[in-house]
Amino acid sequence: MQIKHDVSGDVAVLHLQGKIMGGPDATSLHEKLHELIDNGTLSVVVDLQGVAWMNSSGLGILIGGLSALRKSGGDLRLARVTDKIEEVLRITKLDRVFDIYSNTEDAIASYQS
Amino acid sequence: MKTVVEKRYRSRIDAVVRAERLTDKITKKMRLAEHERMDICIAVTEAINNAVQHGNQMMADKYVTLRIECSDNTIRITVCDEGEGFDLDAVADPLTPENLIKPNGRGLLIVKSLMDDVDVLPSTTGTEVVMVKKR
Repeated sequence: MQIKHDVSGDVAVLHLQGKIMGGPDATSLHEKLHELIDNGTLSVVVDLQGVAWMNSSGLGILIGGLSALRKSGGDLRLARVTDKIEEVLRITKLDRVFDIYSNTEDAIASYQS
Repeated sequence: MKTVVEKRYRSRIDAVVRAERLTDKITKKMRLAEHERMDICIAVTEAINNAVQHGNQMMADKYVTLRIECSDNTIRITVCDEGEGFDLDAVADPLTPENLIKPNGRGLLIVKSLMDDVDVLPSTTGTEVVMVKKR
């Protein structure tokens, strides 16, 4: 899995590429999210267009990041969720927990409203 | 015609990636639809993750076995660990409000949702997870 990090104002946007299934790749996502939190970033968008699927390890990392950010008054929002990830989010009812946007621009703009 | 592939992995976290690569290769050869291949790959990674981390507790001397049996209309996957088993009834429901935002505990729910038949057979000498996808 590859992670590309962009910044738009106060919002960090992580563009993910590949599959998220646990193992070393998942560790790098966990570390990236916690690096952002440690540096004081409170608004994060995770762009999932390049991720065909993820398993519960990937979901766990996103939930961990979401919980840590919300505790600090921030949030983690998802953009461009692919079909299989949408299905996995629905199965686990996490589609009710995450704010999900159809494009990254709307996800970034949601932090301004 | 039936094809059987069996592979043993050491209880290391990279077993997940290696098992997924093998499963992806086999399901591509079977010319399954992409969404079916994804379901199977996700299920295999969940079962291997559980076997390595919870079953074998990441112990280096314990192995996880992946067995993939393909026939014309079915793919049957068995994942076995060498752990001490567990109480299936004690597994927490990940959909209850108190568990919903916990970082783990969703693997089995996802496997059961994506595969057609799933059997989890814990024993004191290891747990066997049998997952079937019909074409």
